Amino acid sequence: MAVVAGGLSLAVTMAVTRDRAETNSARELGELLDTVESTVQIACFVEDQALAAEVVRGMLKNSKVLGVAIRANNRELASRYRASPGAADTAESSEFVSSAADGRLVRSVASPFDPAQIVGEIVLDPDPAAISRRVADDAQFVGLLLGAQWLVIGGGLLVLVLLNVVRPIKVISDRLHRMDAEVGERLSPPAGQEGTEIGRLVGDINTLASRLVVAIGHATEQTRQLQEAKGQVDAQARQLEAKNAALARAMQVQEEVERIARHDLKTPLNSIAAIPALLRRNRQPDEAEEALLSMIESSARRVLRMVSLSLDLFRMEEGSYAFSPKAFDIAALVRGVTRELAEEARAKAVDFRIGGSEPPVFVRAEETLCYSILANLLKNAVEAAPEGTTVDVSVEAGDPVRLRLHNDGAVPLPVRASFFEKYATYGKSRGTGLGTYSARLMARVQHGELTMETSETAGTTLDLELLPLPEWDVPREEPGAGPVVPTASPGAGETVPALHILLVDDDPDNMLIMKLFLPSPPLEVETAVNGREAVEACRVRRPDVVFMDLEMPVMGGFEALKRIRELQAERGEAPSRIVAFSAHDDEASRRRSVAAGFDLHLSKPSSQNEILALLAGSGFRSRSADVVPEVLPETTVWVDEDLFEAIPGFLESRRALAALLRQSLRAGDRESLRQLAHKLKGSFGMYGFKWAAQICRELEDKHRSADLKLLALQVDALDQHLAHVKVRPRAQGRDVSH
Amino acid sequence: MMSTRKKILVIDDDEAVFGYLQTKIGCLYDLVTTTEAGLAVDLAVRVEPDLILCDIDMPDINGGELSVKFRECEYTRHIPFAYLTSFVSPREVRDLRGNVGGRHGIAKATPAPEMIEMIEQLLQ
Repeated sequence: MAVVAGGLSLAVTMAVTRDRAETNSARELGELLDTVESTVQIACFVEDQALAAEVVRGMLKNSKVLGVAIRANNRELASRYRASPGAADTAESSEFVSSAADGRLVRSVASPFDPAQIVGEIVLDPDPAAISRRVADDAQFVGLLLGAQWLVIGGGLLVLVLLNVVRPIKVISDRLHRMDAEVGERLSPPAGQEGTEIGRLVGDINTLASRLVVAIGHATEQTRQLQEAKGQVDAQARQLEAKNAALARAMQVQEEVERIARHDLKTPLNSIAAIPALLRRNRQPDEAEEALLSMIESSARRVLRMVSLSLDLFRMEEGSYAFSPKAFDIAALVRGVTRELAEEARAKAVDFRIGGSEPPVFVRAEETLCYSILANLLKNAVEAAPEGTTVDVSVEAGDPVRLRLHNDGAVPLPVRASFFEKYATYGKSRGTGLGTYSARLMARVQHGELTMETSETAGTTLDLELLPLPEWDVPREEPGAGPVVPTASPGAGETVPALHILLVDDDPDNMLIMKLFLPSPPLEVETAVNGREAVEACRVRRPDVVFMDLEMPVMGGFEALKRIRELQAERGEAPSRIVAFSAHDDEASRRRSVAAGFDLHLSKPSSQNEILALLAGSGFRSRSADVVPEVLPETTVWVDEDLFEAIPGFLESRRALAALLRQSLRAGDRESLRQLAHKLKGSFGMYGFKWAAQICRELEDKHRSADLKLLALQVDALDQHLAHVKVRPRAQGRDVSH
Repeated sequence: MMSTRKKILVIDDDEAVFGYLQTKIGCLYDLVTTTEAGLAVDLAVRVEPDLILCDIDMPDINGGELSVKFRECEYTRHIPFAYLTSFVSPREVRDLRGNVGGRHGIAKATPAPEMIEMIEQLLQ
């Protein structure tokens, strides 16, 4: 700014100076002309032209500024000076120049005797270059002078600012850097600045510092309090976590104990249930005895079913139940159940009316589960129906298959909202509140649904939806009435070959029942109470078939299996057919047995019919590898909660890959099938879809050798799984995402 | 400021794998992913990853061939390399002491915390 102002001021000064110099120059010229005029007049007065000319010439000689010409009206006078150097005589011209339009200055000369008589004129011709130079010199000089003054004044000002502003601020800044405001240090103003703006600035800084110290103090205190609070919350969270973990462990232990208790109940119950049939075989009981035997039989089977169901319900609740669908006629099942309930219905004068699609109506479901659902719902319906009314059951084929159960009674108001909830019961002294809850659970575990509508006027309608059987899977031969309930009658007519059987079980009751089940002859039955005895028995004589319990003291079933296989391989004997005979009927146990090398996994209880049919050759194949794998998909998959959002997209992309899998299968392209199965296996494993990963692993492993129909079954199952699987988020530990 | 996060190049023909890794380990590492196994070496040269995770069973070029290519390329041979595969289960990887076909291996079904542990070891 200062430089700009200085420059501006300099320019203005130089312009003014130049104007002034030009005015002065013009004025001097005028004065010069006056002098010349007077001299010429005097020369005229004395009539001495030579003098006049000389004076003029002399005066003008020293001036480099002007050229001069004198014109006379008198031609004679003019001709004398024509040759005079330094002056141009224009007397020849008869015209007078009377203006200074071309820069010349012209002055008429009057006669001293007669001022009215103009005797000639004087013409001054200024040299503009010379005048300009002079003017410029003057202006330059003034400019230089002014510049120097500016420099001196500016320098002075700078020194003043440095001394009075910059230095004190630097001093303050240095003290500010060293100052520790938190221990109460404050700035002091530089010497001599106490009363100045700088002094006041120091005061302001000190006030600000004091306020900041107070604010920081507050903030620090708050942070400390927050940290303390956070510590307390963390401690409480840890305590809660520990309590949670302890609770979870306790629950796990409790559930495990209950599960074992239920499981252990099955073995003796099975023995009890089998005894009446065995007694009947030896002797025809009288009526009273038959009634008692039937009571034993039906009660034992009822308890067995309850125990089995409670084990299954437990698995369904925790999402580990393996759905094992098979094709069966649901219409036949409905008829069977209504037959069972006929007595009860008659007692209440309630009729069953069955309608809907023409039977058979095939579903893809588990018969025992559907039996439980229907038995429960129809029993409820009979109980709820007003006397003398009808319970309607309609079975509609389609996708889904729909069963509609209707009775005229309404569900009491207090339980309508909680109809399907666990432990919800009304008006039954022996009701557990599990009936409708488990019915819905069982429907859902089969990828179906169970809903209820009720009103005082319309009565109660329960809708059960089940998966239909794909068209191509519908059996060509119409099945029989359907195995509605396990039958207690022994299988007559099965031709059992003469086989050497080895029974291995540590439970004497079980052993006894099994022995009684096996007709001898034609069978030859040997027993062993543990694995070691079984191996020894095999060493002595090769059995054709071994029924092996899995959990036994001294040596368990798996170890015994391994040793028997080794022994027979060493000896070059044909391998015995070894059946795992266990009270564990879940899918994991089944897979474990087959993986270990058992030919079959048979779950207790098994009816005599099943066992004899097995021995007669139907349903018993030599090696498990040829057995069509059972397809038991998970119904609920728990995925890490951070993956949960991605699941819909993931499933969509997997369905697309499964469709490609089917295409490869149709085209018989086994290599492409393998690649796709491998790809699916990897991603299912990552996202936590264990069952699907396992199925894909099997597809991959068997892609080369297995029958395409068998592979198709697995692809079907995978499709079904992907279409119906329920995915739930599982809370994770902190370690993964941190 | 330069990022201190390590960069991992993941090669797999299934994008679901990238989604899983992004969710599970994306908060710890910068993931560069490609389903184009044929272009993986060029990509590695360009992005200079700290680790390469490579599927084995891929349609055009398999993981084994790719591992050779990485080893032959002077710009990538120093980069740690591991198979990320479902050919082996986590248990099998443990039994094999992490060695799958002569290279490091991580099973796809490895739980995330263990996977991170394995990656950290490889990055050292």
